[in-house]
Amino acid sequence: MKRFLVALHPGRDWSVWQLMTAYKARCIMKNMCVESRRSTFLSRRQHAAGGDDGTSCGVGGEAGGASDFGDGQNGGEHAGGAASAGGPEPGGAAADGAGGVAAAMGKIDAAGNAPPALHPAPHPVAAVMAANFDAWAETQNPVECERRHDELTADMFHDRGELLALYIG
Amino acid sequence: MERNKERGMPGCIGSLDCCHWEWHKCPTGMAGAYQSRRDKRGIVVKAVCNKDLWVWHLFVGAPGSLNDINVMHQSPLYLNFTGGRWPPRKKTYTINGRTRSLPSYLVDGIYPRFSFFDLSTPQAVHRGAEELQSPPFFFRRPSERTSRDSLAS
Repeated sequence: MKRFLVALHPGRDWSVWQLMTAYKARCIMKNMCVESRRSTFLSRRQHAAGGDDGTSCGVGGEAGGASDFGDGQNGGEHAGGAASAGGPEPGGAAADGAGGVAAAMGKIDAAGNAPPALHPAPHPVAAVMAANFDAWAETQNPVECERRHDELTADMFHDRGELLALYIG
Repeated sequence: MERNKERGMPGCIGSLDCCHWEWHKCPTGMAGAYQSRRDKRGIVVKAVCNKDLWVWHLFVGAPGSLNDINVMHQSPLYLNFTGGRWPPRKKTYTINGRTRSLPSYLVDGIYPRFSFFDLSTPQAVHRGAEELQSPPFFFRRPSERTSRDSLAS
């Protein structure tokens, strides 16, 4: 991040909020630089494979995968909210625009006139609490961490020939 | 995750580390809380990046007197992880024949042994921090160009 001049020196802002804003802006610019130069880098594996097999994945590969990886929850919530509200579809409202706004409003029943539930709760409260406890117990398990570390070590040792082939010729 | 799997780290979704940024204009009244290392005042920056050093998560503004673990405990990433809101368990991966759905972050040895932390190879973690803390090579050396146009290009 300190490739930007402002980060080479100590922060000269007067509040933490200004520091945070400056650093976030710097992070966004760094991501833009990485994205613009990503297709020019070739790893040893891709260089050995003889080309740019998806190295420009800042847009198509990993970024696309991450978007469907990360936005799944939000997308589901919004879709559920629109469905539960029972309101008219935006496309449909635009399609019968010949009838005017008054005609469209007349077709709306009491249920359809309700405010849309933009962020409905996906589960009852009790289920959320149980899920929180489960997630807490699962993520803070040192035994699982040790087991995962041992298995990962064994897995890497098993595949050491393939992983080291590019580095030892 | 697919690219990390090719590199021998299945289930890894990024590297997590903290660094300090010195705060030159820190008010005197806040100097105690923001007292950082080497008698400097500063804030802590926690970031998650991948192999290309694309920053996926950034948490800025924690006082410099906190260490990495304290910063992690108050970051939204940790709260979402322990609250079950992140990550989605859509993709599974296999390590040594065992299939899992909880991805992990690559961290160094100071972090606690949570099941979503991978304390395997700390040097790979510091690569991101080193990149963030060092300017490009041609900025670190005097310019050898002879004209302003070549410098600008």
